[in-house]
Amino acid sequence: MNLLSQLESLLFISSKPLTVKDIAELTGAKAKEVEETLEQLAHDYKEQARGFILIKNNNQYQLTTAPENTELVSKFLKDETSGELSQPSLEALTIIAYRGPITKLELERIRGVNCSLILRNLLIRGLIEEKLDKQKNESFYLVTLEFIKFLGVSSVDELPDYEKLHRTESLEEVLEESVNL
Amino acid sequence: MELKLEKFQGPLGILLKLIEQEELDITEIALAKIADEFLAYVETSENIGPEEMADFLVMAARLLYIKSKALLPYLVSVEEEEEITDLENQLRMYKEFIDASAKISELVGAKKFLFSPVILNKNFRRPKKEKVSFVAPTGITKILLRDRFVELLDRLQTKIEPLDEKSLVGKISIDERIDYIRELLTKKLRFSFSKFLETATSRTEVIVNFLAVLELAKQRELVFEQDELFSEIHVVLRNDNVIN
Repeated sequence: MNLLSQLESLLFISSKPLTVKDIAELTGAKAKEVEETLEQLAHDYKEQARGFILIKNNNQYQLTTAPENTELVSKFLKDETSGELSQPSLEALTIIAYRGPITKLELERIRGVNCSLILRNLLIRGLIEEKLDKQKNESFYLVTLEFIKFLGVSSVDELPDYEKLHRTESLEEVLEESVNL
Repeated sequence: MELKLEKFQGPLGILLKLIEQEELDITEIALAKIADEFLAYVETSENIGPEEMADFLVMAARLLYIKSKALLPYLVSVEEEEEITDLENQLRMYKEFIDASAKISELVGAKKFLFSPVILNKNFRRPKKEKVSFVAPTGITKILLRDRFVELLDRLQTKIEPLDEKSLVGKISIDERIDYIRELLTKKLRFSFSKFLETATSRTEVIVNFLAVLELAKQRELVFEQDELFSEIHVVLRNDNVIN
């Protein structure tokens, strides 16, 4: 059976993002195999400059229209998304996108200011989501697929300087040190 | 209120702005230089909400500390030296994310929004969002609800750590003390420095008295007189300040 073709059908028909686990259960394929095939699919779409792309975030996958066609699609949908973000929201989203999953405390250490209100607003707008780590009894924040769609990239690691800002030694140091203060 | 807070920038943002305005690099010297400007900002800005004020005051204290270190370098311990480096690092880090956020802003501004499949109504419009309403998930039980609630309470509890309680003791400011000394000098023209210090009721007050006298000397409103080494010091109103 052709897993690639199966995945394509599932992604096409689903109006909601699918996880590797969802797909593995449905197809009976191994998670690793599903993941590799998804990567293959995403790669193919890009290579062939197709009208849709496969985007990925926090282990969720979804088909979307290609960024080249946004204007046309917006016209068709009469979409009025303005994409306006306040400076602090933008700051917080940037940090969460590059550093997610991130705790509120870490976010506040980087921004040097209380972030409760901003986090709440971003959660309400569906731009970030909260995940509870039961073992550590701590909440982590991640950007959502909605935010990814906003940016027109297929995943956060396509953001400029992602590798550098995702794991920078100096950041690790700053966070370490401020814990010890 | 919320709108106001949303627009406002944190202390690091303000610091970075001040440093960039002065066209300085992020160094200890730059931080010492802008300490006063930062204080002035905190004092005059109406955009700082009560929740953020604490963060601003902590930063103000750190800056004042750095400034005092620039003036009295030999009084600084290794530990405190590290804290200054921490702030520099923190600021550099913050700047990297600010620069990145400018790029993110460009990405959003380019409006290359991606769309996922939607169900359209007969006018090829996306249906209006349905009103949000509560639907109980299937398989919900009393026990499940109870467990979730206990979980929630646990989360709330662990996050609140009681802080040490301390109340503020009424203190005399240097400004108030300066006014007092001026008044004293117009009445008496001179007074004994040691006796003046003796009137203080606390250590803080001794320091405030001392600083106030020094400040007035610096402003050339008074001079010190001492007949011989280790003898009584008198604080005297400067001659040219005496109104004839």
